[in-house]
Amino acid sequence: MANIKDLKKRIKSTKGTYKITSAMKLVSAAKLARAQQRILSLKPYSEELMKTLRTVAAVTNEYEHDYFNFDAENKLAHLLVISSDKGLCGGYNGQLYKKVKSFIDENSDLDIKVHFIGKKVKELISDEVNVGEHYTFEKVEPDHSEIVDIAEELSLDFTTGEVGKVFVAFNSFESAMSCSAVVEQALPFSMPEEDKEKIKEDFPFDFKYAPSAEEILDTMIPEVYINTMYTAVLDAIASEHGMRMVAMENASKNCNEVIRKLTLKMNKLRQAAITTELIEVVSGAESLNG
Amino acid sequence: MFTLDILTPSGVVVKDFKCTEVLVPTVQGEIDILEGHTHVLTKLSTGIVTAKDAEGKAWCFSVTHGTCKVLGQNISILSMTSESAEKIDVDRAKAALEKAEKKLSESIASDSELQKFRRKKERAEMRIKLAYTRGDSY
Repeated sequence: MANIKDLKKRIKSTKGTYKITSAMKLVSAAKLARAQQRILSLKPYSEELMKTLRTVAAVTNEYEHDYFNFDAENKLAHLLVISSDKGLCGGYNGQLYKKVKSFIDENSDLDIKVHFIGKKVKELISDEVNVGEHYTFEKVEPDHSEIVDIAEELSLDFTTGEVGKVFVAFNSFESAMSCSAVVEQALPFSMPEEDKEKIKEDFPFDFKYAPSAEEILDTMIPEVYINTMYTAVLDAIASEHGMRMVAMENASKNCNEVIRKLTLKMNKLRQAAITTELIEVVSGAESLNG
Repeated sequence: MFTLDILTPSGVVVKDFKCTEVLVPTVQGEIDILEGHTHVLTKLSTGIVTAKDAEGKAWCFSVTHGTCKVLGQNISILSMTSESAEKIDVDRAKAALEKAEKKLSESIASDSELQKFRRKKERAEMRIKLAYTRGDSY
């Protein structure tokens, strides 16, 4: 049975752990706020980009771009998995690993080469898949131009016909409390066809295009693709910090609980020792009185 | 009076900026947009967007490749990167220029690399130019 000294030691070390986890929680909360800010600052750009793309797409027919080419014969594919470099973030990497694994199992007809950002999922899955590049960044978090480089590298293989598809797997940010692992097809993509006619009707303006609508689409389409990739990375970063914040909050709560239980146990032991001593003193006195 | 938005993936540079005249660099040369301009969608080239506000003061912003849309009373510019003249760090731009020039003088493996560094050089030169013209009226 544990003695009071051992319990005191354990309480002290648990208090130390509590300090660390609550500090990590605060750090993650600050990082999450910054990551959310990055998502928010991207939003107006993405929205305007999609709006303009739809407008141009509505007035151009029979437009062809390399990124639309769907080659059913080509069974090779790239999958970019965006995980984290650090652990202690709850089920963040675990759920992504499961998703990637089930995705690969479901698409067993495809020969998928898996590329990585972040090492955690790579460590888990590298024995089971065809491992490609592992991208790292100058700073901990990538900036836009670094993502552009990666996206272009992957799309180059697509346009040259080396691979038929490009996927990206990441944790999609829902709220600070939750995120879900998703796999999205980045290439080839299809033009938003659904409301083409509607846009045409709603859109009374006759635009002047310089140089031409096709050339403008040529610039915009790669941008939409890069935007997909960049959104995925920002989502993954925000999810990571959100998950770590939640994990650390739970850890802090658990620490408090452990400290409470240990203190209780220690007090009981101390009280028991006092009671025993008292009994000894009292019974000693009794026996003297005879 | 109309409004100007400059949006980039890293953030909003300006939004609903009221101006009376805007000069935009496009692949077919610079265009001057005044009130009542026809609706235009055009491709940007790396350069400087100059916007004149109601008091006649000129505000300069760098832009790289992207698109510019003039629709009704609003101009929206979507650019890969953009900065206002006040925020440009000249030393950083000079360092970037030197780095790009050095890379270009070495042997370069692929066309895409070559293009990348040419773009970087162009951008650095433009930023330096913009930093030195800041505050000037046009």
